[in-house]
Amino acid sequence: MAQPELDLLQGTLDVLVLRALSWGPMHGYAVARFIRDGSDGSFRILDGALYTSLHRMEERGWVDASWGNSDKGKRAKFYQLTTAGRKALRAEAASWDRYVIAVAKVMSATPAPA
Amino acid sequence: MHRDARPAAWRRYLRFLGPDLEGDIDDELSFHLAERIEALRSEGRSEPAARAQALAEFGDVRDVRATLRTIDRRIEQRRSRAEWLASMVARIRHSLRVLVRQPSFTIPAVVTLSLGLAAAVAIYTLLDTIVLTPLPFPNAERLVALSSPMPKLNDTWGIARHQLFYYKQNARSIEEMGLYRASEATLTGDGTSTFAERVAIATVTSGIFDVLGIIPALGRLLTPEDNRNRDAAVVVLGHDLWKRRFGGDRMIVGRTIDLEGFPHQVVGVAPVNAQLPDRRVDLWLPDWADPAAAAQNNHVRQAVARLRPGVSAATAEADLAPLVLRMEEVFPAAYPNHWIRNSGFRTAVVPLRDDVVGATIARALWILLAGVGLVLVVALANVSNLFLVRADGRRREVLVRSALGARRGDLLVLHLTDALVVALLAATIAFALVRSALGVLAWFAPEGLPRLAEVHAGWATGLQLLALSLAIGLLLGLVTAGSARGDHAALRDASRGLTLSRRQVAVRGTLVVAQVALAVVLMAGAGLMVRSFQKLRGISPGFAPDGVATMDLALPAARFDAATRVATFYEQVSEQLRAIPGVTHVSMVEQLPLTGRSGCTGVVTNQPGAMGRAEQCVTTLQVAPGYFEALQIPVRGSAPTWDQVHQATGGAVVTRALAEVLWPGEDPIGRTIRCCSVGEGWFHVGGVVDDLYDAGLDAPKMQAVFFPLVPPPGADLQWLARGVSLVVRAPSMTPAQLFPLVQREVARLDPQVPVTNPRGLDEVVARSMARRTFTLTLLAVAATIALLLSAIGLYAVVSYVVSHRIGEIGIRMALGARSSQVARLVVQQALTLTSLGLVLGVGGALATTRVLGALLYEVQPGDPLVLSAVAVLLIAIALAASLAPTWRAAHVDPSTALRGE
Repeated sequence: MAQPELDLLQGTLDVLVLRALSWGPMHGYAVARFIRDGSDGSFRILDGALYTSLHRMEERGWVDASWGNSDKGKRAKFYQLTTAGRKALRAEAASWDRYVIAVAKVMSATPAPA
Repeated sequence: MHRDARPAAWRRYLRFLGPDLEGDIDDELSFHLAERIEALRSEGRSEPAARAQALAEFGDVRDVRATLRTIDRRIEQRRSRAEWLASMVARIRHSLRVLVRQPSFTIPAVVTLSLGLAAAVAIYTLLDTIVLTPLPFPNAERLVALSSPMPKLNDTWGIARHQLFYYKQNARSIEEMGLYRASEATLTGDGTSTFAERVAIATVTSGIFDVLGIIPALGRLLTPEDNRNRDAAVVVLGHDLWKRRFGGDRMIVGRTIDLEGFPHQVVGVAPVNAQLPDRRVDLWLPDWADPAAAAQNNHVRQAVARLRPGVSAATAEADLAPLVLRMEEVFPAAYPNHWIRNSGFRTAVVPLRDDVVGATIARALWILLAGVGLVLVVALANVSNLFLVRADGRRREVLVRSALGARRGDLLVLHLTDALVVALLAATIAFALVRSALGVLAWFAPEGLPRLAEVHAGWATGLQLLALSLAIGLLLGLVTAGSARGDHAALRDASRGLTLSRRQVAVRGTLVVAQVALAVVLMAGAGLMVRSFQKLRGISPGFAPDGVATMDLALPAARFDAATRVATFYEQVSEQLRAIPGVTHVSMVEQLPLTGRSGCTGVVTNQPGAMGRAEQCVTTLQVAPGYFEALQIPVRGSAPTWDQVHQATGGAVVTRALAEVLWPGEDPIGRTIRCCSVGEGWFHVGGVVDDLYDAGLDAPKMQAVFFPLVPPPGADLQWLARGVSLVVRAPSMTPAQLFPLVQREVARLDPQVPVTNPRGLDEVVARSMARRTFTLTLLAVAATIALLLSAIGLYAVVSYVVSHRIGEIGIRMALGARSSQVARLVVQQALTLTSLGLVLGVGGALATTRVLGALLYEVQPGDPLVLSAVAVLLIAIALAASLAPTWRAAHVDPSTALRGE
């Protein structure tokens, strides 16, 4: 990787996890892979933080967890978005967009004459 | 795999005992690590390098594990709580459904419990508020009332002013003391408003405010200087009066108001809760109490004091005793000739609460509480009976549940839920009952019941009911579950455990007999009261109350200072009011009959010797012309007319009862009479009226003299009739309709004379029987409750017997017994119990109804008419109660019964 890896803030991690799960039920490893691959490796996440995020979201009722078998037949815990989770995803995604646009605006702004 | 990445295999078996949070976390994390390691290895890393990178990418495994454990534990707790709640709700809904489908159980059970609970809680609330709660004053437990019992005169006197200063100075146990007198006065307006009003006034010494913990809301309170100043015309306003009549005007201090026609300056306003121990106060006025003034043998004031901390009322009384005796030396003018020693005069000190509430009321309430406690226990026994009958009927269901694996705990919960649901339903109904009962009581109670205004059913009552019903539900559930268990054992052997049921029937039967006896006693009491009422109503009150309205008038003292002025005013009022269409007669009298407030004093005639004096209890009232016609009281001879009144030639009218005492066997007309042993001149007797009553229709006939408003020259009446009851005969109008018309006419004549308290004369008659009416109502309610409870109890016992002897009944019918014979068996059982209760109850009634004593009128406690009516009613109710079980017994299908369960 040419650029250094970026550290992910906890809040942003949540919205990425939600986005991952919006593609369908996944186990934790699959979510980690989705984020790593989707950012072409730019994001360095601690997997531990990922699992903390998943369990916290289960407590908040954004995801439901159930045990099942991976495609290789091993026992794994799968996570699935709930209705509340979908709503949260929409809200977080919208505010993320606003955030990005605002930062871009400031970055391309020029100072007013003194 | 690394050892701490793989969970111990044996942990999986722990999952049978419940969720294994640690194992699940380990499983999840080791799955992740395994996948990552495999992915790295497929990229070509070696095993140890892949492992190292995977762990590095993960972060601190132990830390994460701990965090996840905490989160998962919270999730698990929430889940099990939700599960528990859902199962509770499901159980309660199930119970409700089942209960609704069994009205023959549910309705009697709920009704019984709610009656028992309501009675107990209502009486407890009364007791708590009136007797147990301290009075609403600071340091209430140190407050006492002082009085002067005079046993030789069979009377109690008040306290004199010199005693206030003497005790305060010399009694070590008294910290502060105050005197008061309560009365009424007319507030005639302050210049901006001319609407006159009667208000409650308290004439006090300044110490009262300290004792009762009253601090001013505005301005100041009264001071010892005000008390020393004989002509102090200052006043402190009560908070309610200030808000109501003066609009809460904050500039009121310094203004002048007009009291009885005399101006008084407002010096302050009392706070919201300021009151005398036993009544509310609109105005506080200073009494004239000067320590330098001479002592007088005039003990008419009420006294309250605050004792030093730790001093009891008894100690204070003992402390005062030597001081009392020494008063003969300190105040020789007031107590000459060893007056104190001879008369037995002393000072009694009583805790203020006992003085306000009174020992009789406290005792009556405690007795009532014991009574309703008993009722509650009986109600509980009844309801548990009902539960047990029901449990019998569910034996099969319970057996099936056990067979399907229900644990003992589950069955217990089943019984508990049912019992708790019933208990809580009963508590809800009981709360409504208590609220309405206390409301009715407040509106209805005779005037003697103190602190009634403080009684209400609020949060505390609700909580008490909740706690009681939870405890009762628990108890009932346990009892039912316990007996059901016993039944299992009995069922296992072929015999039906008849011995067990016989003993249980005996116990329950005894309870029912006791209930029936209690119901009989109460019904007998109520019946006797009803007969007393009938007899009383047969007595003529001596006048015709229908169609007559009465109101109170009060003339201000300042302007009405002579008899002629009073008489002229009353004549004007009579003329004006008679002009109102529909009004036929108008008059005034100082006190109406049957109010019990006519008072008495001594009169003399000019007969020599003992015959000449009637000093015991002669009522002396001034009366306006037209009174006897207005009330349709026949007069033999004549009553004075207005002309005669103005010419001061009016005569007195006496009652026949008095005439027989003063002039036995002679015609009283033409005789002379004088009031109150004062004055020189005489009134001549012009007329005689028949029997009138003062205290009540059952009291002795009133000995009374009705004096004219203006005495003849030389004669004197020591007082003016400034406070009178107006009587207006207007058959076509109600008192409420008449009242505004009267107010308008009187205001037109003199806007500062208030007209108050409109009511019908028939209401006055009814009120004279208030104590009886109140007692009768209480007894009737109690009797009805007891009857209901007995009926339910009877029903429960008979049902129980029938259900236990179903087998026996089946055999009898299979062997040819007819339904009617079976029915007769059941009815016999019911009647046996009832008759036992009846006999016991009649005995009890004969013993206890003499307690009603004074309230009975011309009815003997053992009145046969009442007792036989009670017996008939009881038997009818008993038969009705056993109707359902009898029907069930008579319609038993022998084959089903014999097949058994």
